[in-house]
Amino acid sequence: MTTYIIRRLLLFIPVLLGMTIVVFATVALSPGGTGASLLAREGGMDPRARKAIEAYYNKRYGLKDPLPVQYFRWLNEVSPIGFHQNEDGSRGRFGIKMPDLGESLVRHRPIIDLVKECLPITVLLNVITIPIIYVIAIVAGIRAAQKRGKFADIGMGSVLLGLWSFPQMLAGVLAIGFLASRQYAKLFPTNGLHDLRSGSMPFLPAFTPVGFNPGWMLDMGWHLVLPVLCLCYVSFAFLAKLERGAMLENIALDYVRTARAKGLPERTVLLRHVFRNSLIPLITVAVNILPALLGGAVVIESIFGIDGMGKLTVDAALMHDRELVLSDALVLGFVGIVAYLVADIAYVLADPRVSYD
Amino acid sequence: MTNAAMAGSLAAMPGEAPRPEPAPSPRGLARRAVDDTLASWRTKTGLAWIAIVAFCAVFAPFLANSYPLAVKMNGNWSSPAIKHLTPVDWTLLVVAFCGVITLGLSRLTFFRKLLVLLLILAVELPLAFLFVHPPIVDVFQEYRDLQRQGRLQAVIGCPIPYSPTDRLRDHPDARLTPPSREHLFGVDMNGSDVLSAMIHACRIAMAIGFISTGIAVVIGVVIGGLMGYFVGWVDLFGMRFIEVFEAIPTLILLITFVAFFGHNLYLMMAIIGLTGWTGNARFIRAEYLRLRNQDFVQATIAAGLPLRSILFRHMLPNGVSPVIVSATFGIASAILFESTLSFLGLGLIDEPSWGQMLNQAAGVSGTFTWWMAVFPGLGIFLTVFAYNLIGEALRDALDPRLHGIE
Amino acid sequence: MQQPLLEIKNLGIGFSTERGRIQPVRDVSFSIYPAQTFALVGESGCGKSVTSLSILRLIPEPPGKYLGGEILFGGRDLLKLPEHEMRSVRGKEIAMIFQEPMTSLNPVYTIGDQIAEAVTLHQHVSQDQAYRIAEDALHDVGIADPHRRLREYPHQMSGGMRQRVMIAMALSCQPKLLIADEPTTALDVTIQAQILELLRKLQRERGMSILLITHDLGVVAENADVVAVMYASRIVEVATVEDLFDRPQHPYTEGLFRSVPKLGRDTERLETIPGQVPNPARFPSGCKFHTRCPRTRALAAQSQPQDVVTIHTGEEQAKVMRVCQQDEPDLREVLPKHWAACHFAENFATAAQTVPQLEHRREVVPDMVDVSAGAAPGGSGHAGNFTVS
Repeated sequence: MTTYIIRRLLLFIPVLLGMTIVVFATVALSPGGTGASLLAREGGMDPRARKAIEAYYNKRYGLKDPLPVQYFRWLNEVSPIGFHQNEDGSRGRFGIKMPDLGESLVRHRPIIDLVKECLPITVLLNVITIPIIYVIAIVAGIRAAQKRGKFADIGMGSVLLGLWSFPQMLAGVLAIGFLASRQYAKLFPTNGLHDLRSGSMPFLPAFTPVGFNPGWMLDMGWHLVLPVLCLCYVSFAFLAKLERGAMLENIALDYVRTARAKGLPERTVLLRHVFRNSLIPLITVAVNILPALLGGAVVIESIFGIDGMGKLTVDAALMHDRELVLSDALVLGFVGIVAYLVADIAYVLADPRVSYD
Repeated sequence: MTNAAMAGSLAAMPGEAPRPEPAPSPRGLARRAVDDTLASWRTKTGLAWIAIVAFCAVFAPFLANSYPLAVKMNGNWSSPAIKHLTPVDWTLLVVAFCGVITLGLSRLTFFRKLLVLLLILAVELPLAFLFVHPPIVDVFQEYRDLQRQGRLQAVIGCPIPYSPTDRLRDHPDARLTPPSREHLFGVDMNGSDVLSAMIHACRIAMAIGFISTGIAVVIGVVIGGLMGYFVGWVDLFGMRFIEVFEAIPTLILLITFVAFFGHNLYLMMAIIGLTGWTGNARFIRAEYLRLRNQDFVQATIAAGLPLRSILFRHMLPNGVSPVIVSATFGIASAILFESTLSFLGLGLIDEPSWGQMLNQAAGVSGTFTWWMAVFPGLGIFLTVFAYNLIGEALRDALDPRLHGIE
Repeated sequence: MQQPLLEIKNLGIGFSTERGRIQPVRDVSFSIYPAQTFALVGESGCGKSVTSLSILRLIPEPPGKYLGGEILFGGRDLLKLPEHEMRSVRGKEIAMIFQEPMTSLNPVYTIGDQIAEAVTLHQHVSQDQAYRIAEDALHDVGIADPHRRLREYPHQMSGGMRQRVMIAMALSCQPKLLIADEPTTALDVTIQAQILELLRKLQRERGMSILLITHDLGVVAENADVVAVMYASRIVEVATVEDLFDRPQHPYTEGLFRSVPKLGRDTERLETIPGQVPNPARFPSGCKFHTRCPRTRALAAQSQPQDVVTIHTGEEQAKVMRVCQQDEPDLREVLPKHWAACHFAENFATAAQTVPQLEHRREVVPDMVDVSAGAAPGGSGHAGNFTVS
């Protein structure tokens, strides 16, 4: 098995490189090419600002160089292993360095700072969501398989499909509109992850003379309820259907009959034998779920005003901040690949039959 | 024996002992699959809704138009609605009309019918663009003014007498009003009647759904087919390529493409198609891996047939079923992606789109205009749900059939 | 006279399928004695597997239904036992092995886990002891290096080995009766011989009974003590193995023997039983075999017209005896210790309808070839692989 993992890690590298090529190709092939920001604002720029931007682009891409050179130059900037670049643009020594994701020309900040601020929030959202959807989906799926054929099961299939089809943005908008606005019921906070006063809140809830102070943690939790709910339900519906399908498929298999013939009670057959096998497709599908969750976060973050990577990217696209969009795609793609790898390894652990080809 | 096997072996009775059945031809299976799918209540519900959407898409200029269907002025009848039809409107009407007729022609096979339709399209398109010239300037309140002035002797209006781009310049305080008798679904902040915009947005939904998915299927089938057929390095390289596209969250990829390439309608279709092909490629690859060892493929290779013939005329009909299912789900997800992008402000600007209307629902100040959320949202939801239902029914009809015989 | 270990009396099973209700098992009765190998023979779909599954009440009850009868085991009627008591019978007193060793084991657990699970279920032992019992069981079934095998997964083993594992698992709790549903059908011929030899050995060592379900007459000839032939969900003949092979009474059994290829006989075409096995949803009237029976046709050719009737079978017409078309014959003891269900078996008219109970065990003949070394199956009296279907 370790050989399999090592092989997967090695295959990870071309995928990573491929991703950089795809991302770079998007930039290079777009109208205006790598220096498009320059051209876009040709008219109203004062010469000093223009010179600064030009210098930036030259250092990063080398605007007059052929495309492959531009690519490698950019790749060198972005990767943690590469040639250091001195101030005047000449090549320094080769080694491990901090990846330079460029500078946001709209926000005037190094992108890596922005990423450092926003990525943890997106990761937090996903890390909370993933266990929730898996646990609930598994329970729901097992339940559906236990009650197969009965009304609850058949109805549930369509309900789950409906949930899966319900657009996340609609759910978010409706949630805010009805549950978090002044017009209807203000049960939940509308915006952001923290209350305005949260800076001065203690971490844990406490009873103070002036009343109940929820504390930073609870406050954030309260802010997270609606976004996480909206993020969960699509993946949950999908996984629950999958789990039910996998359970039903496995129940009809021969080894279940053997287990029953051994004298095992039905419950043990279901939970120990069938369930364990039904997990396999669930893990396989995690490979698709994780990038989808990262993508779903885009919409939810935008609606709920949560400053995560998704919102960062959307705002960047709206403000034509190309460098930021580019780097965001790279970072999120990288996170996606890591998630992919984790899912792959989990799959190997789950299914002893996997053939290492 | 397991339950399934038991019932199966007993039901298989007119009864030989298990003799290997000759594999049924794809056409027989296709016929059965189609019949099974159509019989399911899920398909019927889904198709019912899609039929409504398609109807709205085709007949939008007659359903929701500020220009009346027929006007009698100074003793003469004229049809402003028809006068203002664009080439695209004409094309859709012609294709729909001919489509219904050719479907009725049972003599021809499915592919021949498709060919006939494409021929009609090919002839009609240049004609439409050459000869149809609607007036460039739209004065939407023109006929309303005329009516108010009493200069019209008879008016037959459209069921919804507002165009989606009619900003109601003659009724500026009608903007952003909730549903009323005048405006059944309310008015948005630009003054557009919501119901009218929704009807016209059906076109975008259908167009994006089919064309994007078509692009995704073509790309996926070609890449997946090559991978499944050649294996070795092609497969290795192809899988990495697929993994690249799968690892980057689709929405992020879409946003990236939109940010760099722009967002007009045709670009959007291409972009959504470019991000959705990986599923199809995987399916076709798996099918081709399975098929390439079968005798009939070996025979076509031995006969020296050209590669494209082997891949697409012989192997493809046998491996296409998971792609059909995937394509149906793909239409739903394409519509969902377009709506999401429009919702974020990164989608279509000129054409009315459900997602775009949803964007207006959550005002910055926190005022929630519910009619801008509920109606377009329902439109998206019902359409996506409908395609998903059909996809599910298709999957149930196709899968056990094809893989149970092996 | 011993008491039978298992007595099945008038068992009936019904099934609801898309084509309506069918009865895969009708009025089946037989008895199995201790240390006896009872073979149940028939074509696919005659109801033999359903019968065996119903002994352990493994028929899923929504589509299936027990329509009456009794299954007496150890003084109890298994059909009337509450479920939790039934569970202590399964695996412990009656064990079962199935036809498909490739898919009958759970792919995600080691075989050690799976055998130990059976052990701990029925015996009060610690985990360690259970694994040791499992290891011994693997050794008993002839698997080399059992200690290492305990930690392997099913997919790492061949079909023959998996079937041995299944046998080990089934025998780990010392059952009194082993139901073997076509245990060798899915295996190679050489492995078949090994598995059957293994079963014979284990039976001798433990005094266990075996209900052997098969469609292969060669297997029956080599292993069975008593044989029951099933056709169209009923038993049509029961006899000792020697009697059955010497003097088959039912025309179906005769047809089965005739269709087996024989060495030394110069034939262009193998004989078959004309026609097809009837669909249980559409059984013919009277004797279920009359549409294909050569005996009734031969007799009809020589009988008076009032005893004869014309039937239409598919494409052709034939003349058969009227009584065959109208009355279904019951199972009668036409010869001493030999039951048959045919109007025209020897002495049928005067035979009594007794319950088939045969306490017979074959003479043990030393195997002529050492099959455990994997050589060609020489022990069978006929060459080649006989199948009925």
